Amino acid sequence: MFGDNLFLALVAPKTGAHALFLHVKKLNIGYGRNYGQNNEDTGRAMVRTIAEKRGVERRIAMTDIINVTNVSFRYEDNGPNRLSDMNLTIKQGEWLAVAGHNGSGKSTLAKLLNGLLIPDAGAIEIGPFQTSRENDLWEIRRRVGMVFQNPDNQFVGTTVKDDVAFGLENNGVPREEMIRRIEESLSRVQMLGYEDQEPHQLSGGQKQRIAIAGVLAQKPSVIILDEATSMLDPRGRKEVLKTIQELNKQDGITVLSITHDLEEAIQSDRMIVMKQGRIVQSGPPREVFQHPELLRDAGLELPFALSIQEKLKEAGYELNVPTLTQTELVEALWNYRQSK
Amino acid sequence: MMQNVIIGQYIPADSLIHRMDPRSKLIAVFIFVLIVFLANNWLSYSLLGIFTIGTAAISKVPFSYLLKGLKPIFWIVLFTVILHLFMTKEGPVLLDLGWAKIHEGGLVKGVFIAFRLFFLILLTSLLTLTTTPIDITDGLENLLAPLKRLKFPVHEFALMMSISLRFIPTLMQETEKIMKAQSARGAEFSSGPIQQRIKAFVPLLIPLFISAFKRAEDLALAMEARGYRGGEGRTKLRLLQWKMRDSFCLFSMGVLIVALVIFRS
Ligand SMILES: Nc1ncnc2c1ncn2[C@@H]1O[C@H](COP(=O)(O)OP(=O)(O)O)[C@@H](O)[C@H]1O
Ligand SMILES: [Mg+2]
Repeated sequence: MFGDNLFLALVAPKTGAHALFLHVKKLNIGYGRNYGQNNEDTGRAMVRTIAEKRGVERRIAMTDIINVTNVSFRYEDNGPNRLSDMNLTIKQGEWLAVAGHNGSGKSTLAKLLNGLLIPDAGAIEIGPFQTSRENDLWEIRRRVGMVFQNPDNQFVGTTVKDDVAFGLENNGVPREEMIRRIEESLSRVQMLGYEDQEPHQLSGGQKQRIAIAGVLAQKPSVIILDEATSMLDPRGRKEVLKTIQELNKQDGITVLSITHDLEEAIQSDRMIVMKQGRIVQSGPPREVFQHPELLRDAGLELPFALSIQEKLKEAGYELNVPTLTQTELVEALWNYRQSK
Repeated sequence: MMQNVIIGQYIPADSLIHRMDPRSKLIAVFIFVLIVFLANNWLSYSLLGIFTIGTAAISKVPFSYLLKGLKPIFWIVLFTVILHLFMTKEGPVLLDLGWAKIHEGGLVKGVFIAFRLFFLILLTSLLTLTTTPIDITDGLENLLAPLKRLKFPVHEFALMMSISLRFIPTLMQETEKIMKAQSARGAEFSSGPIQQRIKAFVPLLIPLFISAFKRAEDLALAMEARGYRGGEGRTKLRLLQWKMRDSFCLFSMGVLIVALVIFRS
């Protein structure tokens, strides 16, 4: 194989060299564990800064980090498609929220994105890698980190530092480098000083932040949170959300957050709503919330402020701006009153 | 409930024995278990006694913990001593009860056996008292590594042990929670006839089992998502360090063997 490429390189210099290059690249990934020192290639250089409505400086690059093309997936051979002909592109640095009722296929999508499941049709690309290529799988799992719902059931290590190290150990990172990265990522999630704590001594929110640290230590490009805050108390939820926000804004890590909590979805750059394995709505959260009837049709519960607004409308009081948070609702009510 | 459960029996302290590499401790205990059987006279038993008690003293483990470890075997020791007292018919008769005679040989053998068991238990519990379970796991994984060539799944075995250790407190907490929930519904766990108490445990065990399976499934998925693919090519954060003291430990085991061989009759 190698010899063939060399031969080609002699006969047809251009294509042969290219094939050889590809081959070497593959070797690099397939053998020996490549532990991700070279992820600076992911297009952070090409970042474009967008000043958003909220006035927050956000960094969303032009490059696509995830490409889902015509993907269908089913669990059983003759079963129904749990994802049907899905198309989705996520940009580097973007925060995408995924909403949808139970069983709409959100977790299935998440598992497809880091190669825990392989699509039956279509392709999923993470940068230059494809989940259906076995050799790419490990690099994809390093780049696309996942945080699951139950804080206890994803804590593998006997102590905090063992748990953060787990992914690094899997990827064959040398010990000295491991120690450095553990410290670095624990400080990113504000958990320095907890290295030797055992999981049963930590709160749910702390455990989820350790899970995030475990992902961060791998220097990922994308973090997927599959209802990662749904089992937490309000305080834990806030801590985790704050951590995620910082990672997204400061480090430009792409976030895909699956959530039932529409108030959480409001903070995203873009939101998709899923129903029966299909994307039924997509756009900036504020646009998606303009159509409450569609959200309800997808089986979602409206945010408190929005449902109040709807009720007011039924009663004949129409506020002309959609209100998503309580503060906005109060503001709108105030303006409404003044305009009368 | 959490308060009175110690995982393993590890007693944290700063002693030479605590600082030793788990591998040297494991090897030493293994050797000790074998050479205990070399002793066969007062001199060799005294030697073992000095060694055991000396080690216990260096370990700084409170005496009460060592006694606690010995308690469960008390009846076994007593039983074997009595057995030897009546069954061994060597040497002059010390006591004639009519229906049985106690010989001197029986008494000596009985006492020796008692000491043998006593030393064995003391030294093995010293291992678990001075080494955390996870260190023991690491030590075992390392020592058994050659068995990988015989296709024995050493890495998987060690991983299984460490995950069990990780989940013991979690399952304890969960048990406590379910117990409280069932108690609130009128279940009796701590009083009433034994049959009813056993029955009360069924609605405790079923939810516990179901959630354990759910946990196992979730954990497997999370491990895979974090790039787990078996022991091949894996690096480790936990480091085992063989120091001078570990070599010294094995050296003193060697000295003990030689001394035993010289002193035994
Ligand atoms: N391992 C599985 N085997 C068979 N069916 C599954 C499996 N996991 C999920 N499903 C089914 O696929 C559908 C989508 O599930 P999922 O992606 O978990 O939904 P969501 O995360 O949106 O609640 C559900 O109807 C569910 O019952
Ligand atoms: Mg789900």
